[in-house]
Amino acid sequence: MAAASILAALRAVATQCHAAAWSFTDEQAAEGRAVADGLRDLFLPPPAAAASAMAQPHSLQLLQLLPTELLSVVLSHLDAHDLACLAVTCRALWRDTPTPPPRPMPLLRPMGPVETELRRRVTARGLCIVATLPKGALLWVPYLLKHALRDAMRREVPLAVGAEVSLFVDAESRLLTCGSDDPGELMLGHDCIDPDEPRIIGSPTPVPSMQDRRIVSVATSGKHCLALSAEGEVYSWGNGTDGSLGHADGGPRAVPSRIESLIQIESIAAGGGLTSAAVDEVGRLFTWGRATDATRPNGLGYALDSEIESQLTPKSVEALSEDRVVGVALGYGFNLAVTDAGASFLVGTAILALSATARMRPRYCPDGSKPWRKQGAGSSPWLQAIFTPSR
Amino acid sequence: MAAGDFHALALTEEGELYGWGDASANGHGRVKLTPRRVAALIGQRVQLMDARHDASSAVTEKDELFTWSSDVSYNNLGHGVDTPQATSKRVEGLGGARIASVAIGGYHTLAADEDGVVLAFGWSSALGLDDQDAMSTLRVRVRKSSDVLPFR
Repeated sequence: MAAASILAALRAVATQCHAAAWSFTDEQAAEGRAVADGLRDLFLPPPAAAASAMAQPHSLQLLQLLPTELLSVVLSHLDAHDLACLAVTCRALWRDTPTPPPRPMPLLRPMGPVETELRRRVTARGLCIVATLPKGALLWVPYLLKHALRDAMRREVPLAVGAEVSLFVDAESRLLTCGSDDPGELMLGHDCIDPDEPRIIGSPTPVPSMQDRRIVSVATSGKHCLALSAEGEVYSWGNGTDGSLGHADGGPRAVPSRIESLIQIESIAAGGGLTSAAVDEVGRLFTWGRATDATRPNGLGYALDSEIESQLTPKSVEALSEDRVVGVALGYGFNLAVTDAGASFLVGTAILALSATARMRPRYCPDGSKPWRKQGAGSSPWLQAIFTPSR
Repeated sequence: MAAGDFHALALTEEGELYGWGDASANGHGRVKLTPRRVAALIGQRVQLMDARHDASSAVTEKDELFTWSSDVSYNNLGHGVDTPQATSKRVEGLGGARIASVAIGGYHTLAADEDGVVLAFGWSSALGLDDQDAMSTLRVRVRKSSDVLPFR
């Protein structure tokens, strides 16, 4: 009797919902979906496998059997790492589909509890979630994961070594330097009265002008230095000839100076050939610095006009615009980038081009100004797992 | 990935280290045109690595530091002032420190242990390293690197 009246009540509510669904806000729609999911799961038959084997249900099945609202509570208690693992391993909880060509109501697509939880966390971090996926992102879950876990995913580099200086990021995220500056080198980042005087700092000392910045990574070529803040800003200093500092005037900087055009940067690199690189949060690779010889590949990833000897300000590598770069390393006249597809790219001169010991003729990439694609060594299964559409 | 002036290293998710390029520090002792596993580290899961100029370093899952270069400068490898090392070799004398991050350089090297305490060796009068053979502990505690991605 009770069951019949409950069913009748459900039907009445469903009719009301049908009539009122158009007036729901996005949040209300999501909430309604969660309730409906819970209801549907309530009436699912027990899984056949578990019933036949009479075995303990797999923990994943247990999760799936939970009403969605309860599941949300469970997920909200998971740490970021476990949530990420769940997102990778459990497509059932993910329920994301590749972004379709225009869909009338993008927010009404089925959304799994993992995605819901990720959205909650991203919003809780004070970040805005865009209405449609940005170009280059295939799925919501990895996109959200990247934002929800941004601090955890970024590869932080707290130490860097130049010829005569050392850079540190300490436990309070302050930038420290020590070492010796020959006249004009300006590698220590401390303001000095006379830049032409040699200077020695004997033990790691915080850089005064950066006291209020939260620094996460440092890099140096031995001739110039870069620091990355937690907010994704890049600072450069040193003897900035050849454009390695990324400032339009091409001049030196005694104290760290922000490269204004770079925002939301996730990793930085400085190379021996006085080049610099940065990767932003959507995987765009920017390079700048010295092009040793305009007629030869320069490791920047694009060709420069013959009369220009260096790229003064950060420029994005257009040849990789279709790819999502996740890591970069700079050598002397070459540049390596890893994309999320797991392929590695070699930009500029081939690795042996300038080697004195190689006893070989210089080898260049097929087209030195374009990345040379090399599949293999950089492949990384988890990246493929998470950034590949589920079907 | 990491790159020196004329060589490069790549580390896979599985902890396999590949080296190629110039012979001085690619880990093979001879020129390699394409990435090859660094033989001396096969069987050990590599967690981090760094390369710069003509030197390379790697940290294994036992948190042991390995360095190599055929051109040693001022004990930047930590094996002694005059011991070039074309293939990877474990750095002794770290006092059992569990290394959590490393930055190798052409003249000196920094390594931080799990607690962020920085060990330095190699040339640098500015770092107060009088004895080039010795390891020094610097007065700084570095931020712990979140090198470990949130995926297993």
